[in-house]
Amino acid sequence: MSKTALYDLHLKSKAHMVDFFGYKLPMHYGSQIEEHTTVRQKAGMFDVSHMNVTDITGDDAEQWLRTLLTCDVAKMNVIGQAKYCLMLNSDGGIIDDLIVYKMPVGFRIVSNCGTRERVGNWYAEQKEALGLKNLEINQRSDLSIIAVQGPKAFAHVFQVIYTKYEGTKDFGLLHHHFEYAKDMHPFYSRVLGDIHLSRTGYTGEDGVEMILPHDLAVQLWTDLLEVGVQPCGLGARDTLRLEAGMALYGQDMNEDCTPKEARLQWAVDLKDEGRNFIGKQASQEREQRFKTASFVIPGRGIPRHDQEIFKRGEETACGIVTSGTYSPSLEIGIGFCRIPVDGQGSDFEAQIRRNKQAIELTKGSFIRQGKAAYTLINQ
Amino acid sequence: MSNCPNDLKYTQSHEWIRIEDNIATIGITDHAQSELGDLVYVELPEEGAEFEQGDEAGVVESVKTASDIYAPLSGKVIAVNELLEDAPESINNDAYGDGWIFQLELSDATEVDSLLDADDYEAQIESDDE
Repeated sequence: MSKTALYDLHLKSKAHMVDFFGYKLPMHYGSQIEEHTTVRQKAGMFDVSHMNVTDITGDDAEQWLRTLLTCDVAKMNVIGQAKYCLMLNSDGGIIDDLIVYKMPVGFRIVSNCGTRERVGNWYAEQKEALGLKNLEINQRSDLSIIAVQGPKAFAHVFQVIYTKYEGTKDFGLLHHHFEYAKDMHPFYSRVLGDIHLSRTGYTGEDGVEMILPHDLAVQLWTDLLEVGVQPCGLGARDTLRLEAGMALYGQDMNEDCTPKEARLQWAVDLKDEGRNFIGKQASQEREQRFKTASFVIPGRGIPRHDQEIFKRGEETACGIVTSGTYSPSLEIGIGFCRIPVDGQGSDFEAQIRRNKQAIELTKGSFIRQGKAAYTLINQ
Repeated sequence: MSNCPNDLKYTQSHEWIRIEDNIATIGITDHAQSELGDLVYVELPEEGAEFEQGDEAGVVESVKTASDIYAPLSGKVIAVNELLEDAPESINNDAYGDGWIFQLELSDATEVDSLLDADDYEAQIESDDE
């Protein structure tokens, strides 16, 4: 079992630790709902060092990634730019979802923890297959990731900079770096020395993800704790991303489903007809077997991963819940499901333990920047 | 270290039982609430319902997952903690006090011998952790 650099600090904060794809990570530090609400109203921080950071450098890096990824890295003109996209197998199935960054030198990919081995092997195979010589693939196990998320994320970070570093030799550089990062648009990042600051996240709130060496991560986490930033676990991370309408690899997508089926076609760039990325043809030509939709349960009931979906009144299941939870912000059950392509807003019910509960399909994120943002499709 | 008061009895399915004369007060253990995380619904048994030992008596559901509550003993439900309908978090905050779930009037007091004591229960959850 691997530990992140922040493991001892989690124990000190009385984290309830769980096993997560080979890592010991905090599920919560006492109350998942409190952590969730703190992120929506103020800010919280997450140790996401289990994510897979890989740097791709060398003269062939761009050409290689244009073949590997559904987005076109040749269009990333600005250093620091970030793009959400997918990596497909030759059948059009999703090997992983990831964020690719254009770095001062080469590219950086942050992908999932659960797919580390599969993706590592895939990189090696595809390096071999394409016969590219000038390509370095470097898994960065020397880096941690801390995500500070919430409307007050930057306020807290600056509180640390002013209370802990004012008057020190690091102050000027730190202040400048974070000041610049604060003014960046979402999906931009900036690198200064060993500290990579990215305006990305998995909560639907403002915030910053910081990729940095382990010793700096320990220092920063300690500083943030001292100014009172709430540490948050995987539990809150899951309810926050679900409310934000964001898909989770392994539940809402996997190698059996295509971007269209997973509602992720928007992450596939087909504009350059001459660009042939792996899985392009299969993913676009394969028959779409189902669609992914968001739903709420207006009554009392909490949907869970893998529960069956039925057309109302029918006896045979026609779909499945891919992710489901109680929404702490809306105080009802919410989720994502796979249903027939022609499914309409009020057609379905979910098998929740012993009962069938009517579900209502919705449009939009459930919550964006702290506020309800969804509409029922039948309204 | 788990919090398992010595004056209570326990089950393998993580209920605690306080026996007073012929009445059993039942809840879920501090260990169980900690594993479940924040509770958001409690489905209580109906007053007057009669259970055999091991029957499903209710459900506790957290943000993370749902879990059945079993009748640890046979008997008739004489009281349920209705406050849990609006404040399920009482179980998280005070599993052995405000977080009690229901009371049974026992139909077979000899069944009490089949319950675990605090040491047995602690040993069980420690072996579950391994």
